[in-house]
Amino acid sequence: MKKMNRRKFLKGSGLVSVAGLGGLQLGFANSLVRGGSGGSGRDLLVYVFLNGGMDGLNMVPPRSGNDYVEYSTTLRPTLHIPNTESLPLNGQNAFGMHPSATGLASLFNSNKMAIVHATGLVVPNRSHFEATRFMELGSQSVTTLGTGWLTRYFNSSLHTPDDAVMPSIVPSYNNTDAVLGDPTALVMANPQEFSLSDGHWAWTDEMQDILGEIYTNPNTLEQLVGSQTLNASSIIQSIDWDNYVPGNNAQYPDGFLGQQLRTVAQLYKNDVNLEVAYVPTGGWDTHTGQGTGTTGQFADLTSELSAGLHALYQDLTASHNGRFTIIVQSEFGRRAYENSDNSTDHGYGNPMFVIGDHVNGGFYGQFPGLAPNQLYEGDDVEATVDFRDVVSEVLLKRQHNRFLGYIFPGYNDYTPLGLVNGVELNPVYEENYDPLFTGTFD
Amino acid sequence: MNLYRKKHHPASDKNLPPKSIGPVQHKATPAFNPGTAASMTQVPSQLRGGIPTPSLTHRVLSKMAFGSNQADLDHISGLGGASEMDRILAYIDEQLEPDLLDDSVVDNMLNQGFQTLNKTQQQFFQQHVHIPGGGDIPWDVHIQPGRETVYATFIRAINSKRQLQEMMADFWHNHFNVYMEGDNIQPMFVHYDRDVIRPEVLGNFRNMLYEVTRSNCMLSYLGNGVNEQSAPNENYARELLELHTISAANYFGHMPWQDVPVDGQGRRTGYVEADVQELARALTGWSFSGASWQDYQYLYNPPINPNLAPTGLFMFRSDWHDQGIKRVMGTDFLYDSNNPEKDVNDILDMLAEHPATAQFLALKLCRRFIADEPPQSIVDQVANTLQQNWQASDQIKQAMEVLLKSNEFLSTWGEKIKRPFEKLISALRQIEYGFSFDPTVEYTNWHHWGFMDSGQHPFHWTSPNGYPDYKSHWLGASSTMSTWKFIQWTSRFRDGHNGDVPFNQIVEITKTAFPNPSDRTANNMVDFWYQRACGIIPDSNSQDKLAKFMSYQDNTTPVGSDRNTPIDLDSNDWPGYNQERLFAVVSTIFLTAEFSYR
Repeated sequence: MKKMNRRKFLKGSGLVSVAGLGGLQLGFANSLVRGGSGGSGRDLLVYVFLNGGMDGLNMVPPRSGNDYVEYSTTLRPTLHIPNTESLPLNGQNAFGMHPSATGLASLFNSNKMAIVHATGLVVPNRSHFEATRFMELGSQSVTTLGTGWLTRYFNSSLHTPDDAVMPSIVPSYNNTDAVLGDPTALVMANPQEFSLSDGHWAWTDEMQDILGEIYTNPNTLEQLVGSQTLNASSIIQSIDWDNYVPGNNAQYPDGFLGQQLRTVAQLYKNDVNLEVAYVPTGGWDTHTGQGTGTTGQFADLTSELSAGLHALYQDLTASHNGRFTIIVQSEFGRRAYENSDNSTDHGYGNPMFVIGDHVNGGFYGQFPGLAPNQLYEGDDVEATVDFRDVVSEVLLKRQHNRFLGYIFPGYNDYTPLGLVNGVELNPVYEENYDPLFTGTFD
Repeated sequence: MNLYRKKHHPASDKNLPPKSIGPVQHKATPAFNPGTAASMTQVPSQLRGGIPTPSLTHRVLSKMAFGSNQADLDHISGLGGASEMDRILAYIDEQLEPDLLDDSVVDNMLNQGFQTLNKTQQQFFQQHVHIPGGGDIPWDVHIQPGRETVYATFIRAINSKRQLQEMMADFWHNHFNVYMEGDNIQPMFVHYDRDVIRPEVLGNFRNMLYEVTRSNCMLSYLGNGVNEQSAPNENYARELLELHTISAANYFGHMPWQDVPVDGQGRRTGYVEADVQELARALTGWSFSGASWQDYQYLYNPPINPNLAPTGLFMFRSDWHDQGIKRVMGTDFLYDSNNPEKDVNDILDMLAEHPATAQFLALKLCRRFIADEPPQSIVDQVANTLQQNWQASDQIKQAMEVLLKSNEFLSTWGEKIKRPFEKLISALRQIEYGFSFDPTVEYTNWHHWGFMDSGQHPFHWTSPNGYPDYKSHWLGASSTMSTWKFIQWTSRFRDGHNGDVPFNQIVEITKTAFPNPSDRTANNMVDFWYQRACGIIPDSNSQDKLAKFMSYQDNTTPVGSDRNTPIDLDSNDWPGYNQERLFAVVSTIFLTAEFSYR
């Protein structure tokens, strides 16, 4: 199998040749306004999206007071997590953590994790597909956007090196609209299988070379994606995936999520300028068979998520202390009351997690309460925090991108919660922001 | 789970399974995963290089069929008519009447090793889900009907003369998507495919909607089987409005229903949250025998009477059904104790008749066959045909005739790309892949697992919206690479039980095209296969690289400039491996962007 190092890759890279296609190549603006930094530019942002609507009320269950009474008696007589079983969290007794989330509780109790109560879209939407799309596109008001929020993040990122090799990855079989319009985003589920290795042994390498030559100078989007696939394959093959030893001897859980997160960590450590990883993970739509306590679908998913995030934190902090931020979000929470199958339907407000060395651990945001008059339309946890406030604080302080109005069209009231440490930049709300023009004055 | 298996380097050209088959295979995802929403983008204009346009016949077979094969090309050229357009219109007419087309090749293949395709819905339940009186069901028996449906789907897509019917079955399966690996879905899947989807693929939408609503596959998948009036489960009700009929485009969210605009005929033009909850109430009690724990209580009342065992058949549970008035989209629907299905049936009528449903179905059909963002003019024509004929038994056929005979369908090219399944099948049709897909043959299972990573394995989209039908979703490296690899593998796969004969007909097809061995040169063979596969002559760069590859005299040394020397196709010996080399060149053509357009 041919190995290709980064230098050789850059020399013949499609990333270079597509520069002539106009604006799609990531460093296009940066080379004009500011020289590329050469190394991994900034913190790694790992964005974990829990597809299906994660049940935040059972993930971070109430432990005391009127909320606990409502939760455990009226709303969820069968499904609730008893306060004798939820894991205690530092400094308060209002909320605990699901008993299967030992890794998350540990991160919280060592002040590496913030929990933001009751986040959500500004306009509630109980459709998975609509709510997810709004979050991926970064707008609820403009639904005809041709780019995802991460695409616009990179378009306006002044520090991303202009020769960034692999600035973003989606470790998944499926594409996401968060990177819509950015053909340099690498959607790759399994690095071990990422080469044209199913042909005749006599010309395995030659066949990939021939195809690469056919895909040289792409002038359609389809050709560009083929070209990127071959280039990415060369880079991926240059990395030793077999003998990876995670930092701190972190143990990633078995299963696909563990593989996804480990792939992210390995790529980040291999100096390919990885800056954003978007990690979709599904199964959270628990209309039936949700389960109680530490058994059932929700507990299994929670256990895997918790172990995965804990391992990722342990792995990265060993070598990249303070250089990464993990955000965890779902498209919505679930109905406050259980349904007839001891499970839950779609809801609204839901907690988000922010994890990292520079995170100010603790609870943030206002929990709106579970009394009938406090629930949204009598059904759901109300959302009191715009999810964009959470993301934007990380973008400003850790990713050093202040073009919030461009990334999230229609957003103009950024309210920092104090989740992370970092330099507070002034947000720019201009939607028609032009990175070239603005950059020269930055 | 060892997800980092060591790379496998083939030491010989022996028959091997695809590399993605490992000791531990894919983990079934619990419940469904909404995945990612469909994309709205157009291709960035600056990348719109010119795409050469193939012939009308090639275009049409790429768009309304799973690509062309020689038999269909021969058939079309033999149809009456003075022009290519006449012959294509005649082909469309034929395809709209699939029952009149002989499909004995497929029928014969489905008689080889398949054991479940003719069972009844009750037999599926009582032999593959729950044996009356209790008893273990081995896993391979449990999943057998699902697997056989997958294999039958491969067989039909590759071999059926009823190509439009197969494209429509794929469309409706995705419209009414049920994730095959959900709980107790695989044992019932032949029923879903055979009894629910296929009878109406060119028939009547309202009939299909009714059968879907009663099918234990959908009732299980979206949880309506346990929907009780005490605390309704909204899952199916929501998707029924959002994904099956009125569509998210007409969802007004948290708004009083009175505020939804009314059209000229007095219909509410969309739905709100309250409508979801009212429809969920209406659907309470729409269940099936075996959905409730109570259906298994007979096991605890000795002597056990097997006649009391659940059947899997639709069951209206009147004690679970909310008998109150349901107000859906501004109309009140009343319960009728003499006809307890009436309230839901009246609602299904309203939804199936609604112009928003017709628009939504028309948009999706035009998106499937014409373009990601089809012109509104053709969407309107198809929608009007659907809406005006909503009770006709050939409603969908009439709409498809409008669509397929439109200028928008006949004249466009490259607005769509082949998704992984379409790309694979069109390659296999090109090489006349002769594999049997007999469920009792081990190789069949290899195909099942080998194609899984493409991201478009039939019936394996986890969420209820079906596989995305936008280019942007499929333009990802993971799906691209996995599909490429599987095409690479099938293009040279051999029958290890039968003298290592390849399943492809590449050598035979090439010999037929060039009866004179002196014509079998690198240049000629590349030009022939490229035009056959992509419908256009190769550009000079592609021709150059492919012919160079074809003319290698051993595994590293090209013949150089001489690509007009005949190559002996009867030889497959070291170092030239002439036959294998031709397989590799042909499969490389399938990996080009030009092959992906439709």
